[in-house]
Amino acid sequence: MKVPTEPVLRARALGVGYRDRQVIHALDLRIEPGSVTALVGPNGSGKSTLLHALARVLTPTDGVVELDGTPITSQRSVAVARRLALLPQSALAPPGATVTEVVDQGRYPRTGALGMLRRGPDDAVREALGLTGLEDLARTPVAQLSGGQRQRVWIAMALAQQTDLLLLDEPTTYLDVRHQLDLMELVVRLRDEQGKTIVMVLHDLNQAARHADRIVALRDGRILADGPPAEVLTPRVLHEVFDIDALVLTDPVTSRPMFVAR
Amino acid sequence: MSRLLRAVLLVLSAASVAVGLVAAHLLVGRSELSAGEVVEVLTGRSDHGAARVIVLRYRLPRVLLGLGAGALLAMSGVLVQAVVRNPLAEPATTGVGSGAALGVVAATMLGFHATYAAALVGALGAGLLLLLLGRRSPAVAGILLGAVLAAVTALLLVVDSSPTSSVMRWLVGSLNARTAGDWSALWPWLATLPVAAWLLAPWMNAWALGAAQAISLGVPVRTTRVVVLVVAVVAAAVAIAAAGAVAFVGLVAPHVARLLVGSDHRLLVPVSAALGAVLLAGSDLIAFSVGIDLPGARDVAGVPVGAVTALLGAPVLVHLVRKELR
Repeated sequence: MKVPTEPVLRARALGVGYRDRQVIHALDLRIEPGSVTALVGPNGSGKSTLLHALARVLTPTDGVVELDGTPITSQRSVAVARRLALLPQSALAPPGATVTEVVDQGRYPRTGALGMLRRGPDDAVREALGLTGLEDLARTPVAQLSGGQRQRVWIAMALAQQTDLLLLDEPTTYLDVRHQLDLMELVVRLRDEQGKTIVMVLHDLNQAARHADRIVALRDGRILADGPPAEVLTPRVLHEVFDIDALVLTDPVTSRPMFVAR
Repeated sequence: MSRLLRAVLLVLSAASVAVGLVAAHLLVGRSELSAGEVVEVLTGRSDHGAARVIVLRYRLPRVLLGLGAGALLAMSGVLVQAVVRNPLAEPATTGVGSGAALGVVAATMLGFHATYAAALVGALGAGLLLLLLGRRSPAVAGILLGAVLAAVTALLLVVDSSPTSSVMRWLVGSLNARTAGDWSALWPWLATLPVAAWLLAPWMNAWALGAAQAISLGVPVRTTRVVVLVVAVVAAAVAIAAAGAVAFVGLVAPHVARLLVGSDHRLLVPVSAALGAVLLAGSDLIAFSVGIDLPGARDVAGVPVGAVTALLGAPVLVHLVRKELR
């Protein structure tokens, strides 16, 4: 397990906005290597926008995102794609494309455009299909899959990129309880076995508390709380971030905090 | 692998159909030539001067132009569809075709006969406008742009109606009265553009996943968009310079290719080109056979191939629109 000394990903005084509206304001964030970080917050709090800026899909209006100590926007796009993979919320399946064909696209940053012209699915693709339990669906058109299966295809594609950093935008949204649990266990396994760094946007706070090492709670584009689940999942933070009156208990299975709305 | 195999078989069968089309085009015409005479001309053993002119100057270039322009139009269709992310797009519906036709018509009226240059200028201008206007919804912008450019062309024809019949063939698309000179202008493009289009396949495959995903994979979306659009526009302009603004080939061939080999552009580009080639040359055989006894069939005024492709293509368009709306 390699542990870089520099923080792999870092936002400094980051501002992100769209034409008429500033979403993220002067935000500082360090993502520690080999950790699982959950970004939580109400709708419109800027958590997806932050994730997209960290993945350089959105260009900051202020400040900078650094990857391995250099601004991410000054690095070659392919070089960044070898370090960092993004699971977007709204990925599109090309009509008629099979699971393998889509997952195979994850190899682009490694092989380059010319490589993609001649090669077929390799070991990395097969490994990604295996980790997400998609071997049996490998030749099925993505359009025929259920929402949950489709979500696993996008995750497999991100895994096929073989990056140290994985940014996941609401990875559990379309999944049933069983597959949500499978996915969270996969995330923890990738951290433990391959030393990957994972940042994910989650809606389910209990899920975040159960599986993440650290929770970053956003509201109106600012970080209101940041720390281990036990520090963030408190009645005070839940009130400040989500406007809810909550009771925080200890999960009898994991001993992590969990909340119930009053 | 099965899709690769299917693509190879499709290209091979299209090639054999193309050979059949060449044979048919060489044999069908108002001057009766026997197969033996045609073979003699092709092998250089004929001393029948009129037969040589008919075969080498008219019939062979015409079918080769049909095959080549059809392949380029279909290829351009695949590329344009990737750029605007819409299977209904093709050179004719994105303003690129109208731009090329406008260029040729304007040049003809002004007395210039540099058809290729005029088509390229018109198509590149339209492509540039498409990039500028179509950031939000390129498909809609393309349709509007095409309508505006077609209106400008129509206005030109109202102002000066003298060259109407020779101009009409660019607007509808016609291979009537094309000669060996037209073929020698087309083939260098035909030798290069398909290779260029095929090399762009990995980018188009990545875009198909959505812009955020393509950026995340390290594909420089902005630059590659321009590169692909330029290749698409040049291919369309060249095809239109050779055969006029034939509609629907760029729509039908990629659509059928997608049904047969899926959405991997590495297969889609060659299979679409092969299907487009036989589609246009086949339609031209129909146009020519239908019009053979009409007055002026040898002339520019014969039945234009664009009319045949429009009749064949309209049902496909209706089907695609219904599928999109569902």
